[in-house]
Amino acid sequence: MRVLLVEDDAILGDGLKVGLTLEGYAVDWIMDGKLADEALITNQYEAIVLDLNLPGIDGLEVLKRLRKRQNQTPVLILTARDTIPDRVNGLDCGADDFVVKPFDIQEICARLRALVRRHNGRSKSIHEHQGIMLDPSSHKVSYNNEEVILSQKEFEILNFLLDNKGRIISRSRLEETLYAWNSEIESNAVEVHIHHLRKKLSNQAIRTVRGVGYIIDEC
Amino acid sequence: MCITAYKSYKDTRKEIAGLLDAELAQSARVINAFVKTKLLQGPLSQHWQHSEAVDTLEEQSPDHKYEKKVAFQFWTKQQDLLVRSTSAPSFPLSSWRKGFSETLIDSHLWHVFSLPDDTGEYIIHVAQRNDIRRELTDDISKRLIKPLLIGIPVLGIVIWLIVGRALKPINQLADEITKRKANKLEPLSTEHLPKEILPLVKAQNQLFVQVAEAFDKERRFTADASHELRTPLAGLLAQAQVALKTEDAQVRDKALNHIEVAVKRMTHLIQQLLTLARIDPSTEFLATQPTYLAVEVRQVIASLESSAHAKQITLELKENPPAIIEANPQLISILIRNIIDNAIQYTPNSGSILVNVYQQQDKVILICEDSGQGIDESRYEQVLSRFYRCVETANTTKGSGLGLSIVEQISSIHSANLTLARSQLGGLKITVSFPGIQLNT
Repeated sequence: MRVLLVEDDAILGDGLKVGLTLEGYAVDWIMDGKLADEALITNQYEAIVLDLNLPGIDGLEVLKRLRKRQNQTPVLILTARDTIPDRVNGLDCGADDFVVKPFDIQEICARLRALVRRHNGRSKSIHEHQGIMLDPSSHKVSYNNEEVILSQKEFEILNFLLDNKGRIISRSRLEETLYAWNSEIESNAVEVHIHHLRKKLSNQAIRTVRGVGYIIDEC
Repeated sequence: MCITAYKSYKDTRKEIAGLLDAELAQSARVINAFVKTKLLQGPLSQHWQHSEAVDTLEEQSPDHKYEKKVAFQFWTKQQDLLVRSTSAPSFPLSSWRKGFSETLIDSHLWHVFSLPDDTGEYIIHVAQRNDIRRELTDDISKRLIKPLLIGIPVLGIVIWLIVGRALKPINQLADEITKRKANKLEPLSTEHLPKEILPLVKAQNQLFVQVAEAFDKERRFTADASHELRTPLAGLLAQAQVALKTEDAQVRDKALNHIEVAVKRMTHLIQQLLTLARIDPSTEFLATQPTYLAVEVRQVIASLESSAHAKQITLELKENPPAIIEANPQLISILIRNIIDNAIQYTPNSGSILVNVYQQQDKVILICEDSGQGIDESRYEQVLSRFYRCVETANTTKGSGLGLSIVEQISSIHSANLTLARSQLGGLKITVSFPGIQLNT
């Protein structure tokens, strides 16, 4: 899952980036509001972790501009001010959730999962599809009640396709989800992961739409 | 009230007695005048025969109930009763002597006024029964007391109502103030208030505004401080969790390094916060003494020399002649330390810092300039506010965003003027201009 992290404090930003990466997220970290705004115009993210006090453009302004562009990407706000007016203001600007500093990285992960789940219109946290069971919080996958061991990337691809069940996802979109900036992408990486997934689950689990992308069909 | 009523009753009696006495005397004189006119026309016996005279006035029925209680007699020298009123007895009402007297007739007390003729030929007695006086007095007293008895309670109630009404706004005000919570500082309403207490309420409202401002400042400070403390704490926690979670030794070492930096930064921030908290209140009790500014600067430079040396920064003090200010040495030391420390932080390696202390007319000037990057002119005001940190340097220099607010705070306590400008060395030029003092030695 690709996440944009906007945090101007060097140590906190670094800690979050490394911490979220360890949890399997592809994290792009930006320290400046203006750059974040630009990045959000050109890139697609599953979720945004946004600090409010930012140089360049204020965090709330970044959020407002994002929503003005009809971009509904879930936004989790990091705030040091835990007063009701601050929260109300943030929610009015289009924030989906708040975390008050200091926080646990696990909590950020749980909230991000919940936000993405809600964004995709699901209330249940576990995906169930034609014998496939995927639990995003424990990273466990089973097929016909037998546990399947997936690599980090395979898990991310399966999770993303299940999140977007019934929609065709292009290869480049999947690559965006898997890789943060500056990370190297092998040219046929996505095909390889899909191949492995089909082998570990079933051949019918993921359908290829030639020239377009991949899809997990709705039943 | 009883005493007042009794006293007014007595007064009434006395007044009425006086009035009626005067009337008696007047009546006697009228009769006398009448008799005298008659005498001019001839001797008395010509007008009144003794036999007829006694009954002259008998037939007339009294026109007034008091008439019977009024009497007169006209006696001649020969002890003859020439004329008398029906109500008068046939014996003399009083002795042959001018003036007032009292006689008891038929168990009634009569007040008599006797007026003898100058020649002693005759005497006129005019009398009045005491009951008249009693009745009159009682009557008048009753009329006086009745409204008094009804009036005073009514008056009391009316006064009570009026006073209650007049005090109502004050009571409401007292209620409003009593019911207030300590943090509710909106001004009191000045509508419908009598103008006597309006200044009081206005003064109170002014006080509310001042307290609210102080509260607000405090709240903002706490909010800012919590923000400034929470962010590095969050960084610490995140890095600690990374260090715990990762299996990569390199990642762990990096995280631990970050933790070390974060702890140092927080220590500095907390020190600065405590300094600011210490200099904030009770400035009016600040102990000051004549202080050689350059001596303080020299001490600070001595203690900061090593950190300047570590960056190969040239730190120079120019002083001429010795300048003295009235100041609190501890605070002045904090001010100088913050200015010079700031300069060292924001000056790149091998840079230079120049500190200048001199007297200019009645001012003592402290200037500190550096060859650093400086601050954009448009942000001079911002950098003085608490927790403001320049974006370009926020992550590369250990700073709390409080240094210059501390400097400004201490400057204002000492009535000194703080100005920022661009230095000829290229960086920031901080000027603090203190009011100087003259030593008499």
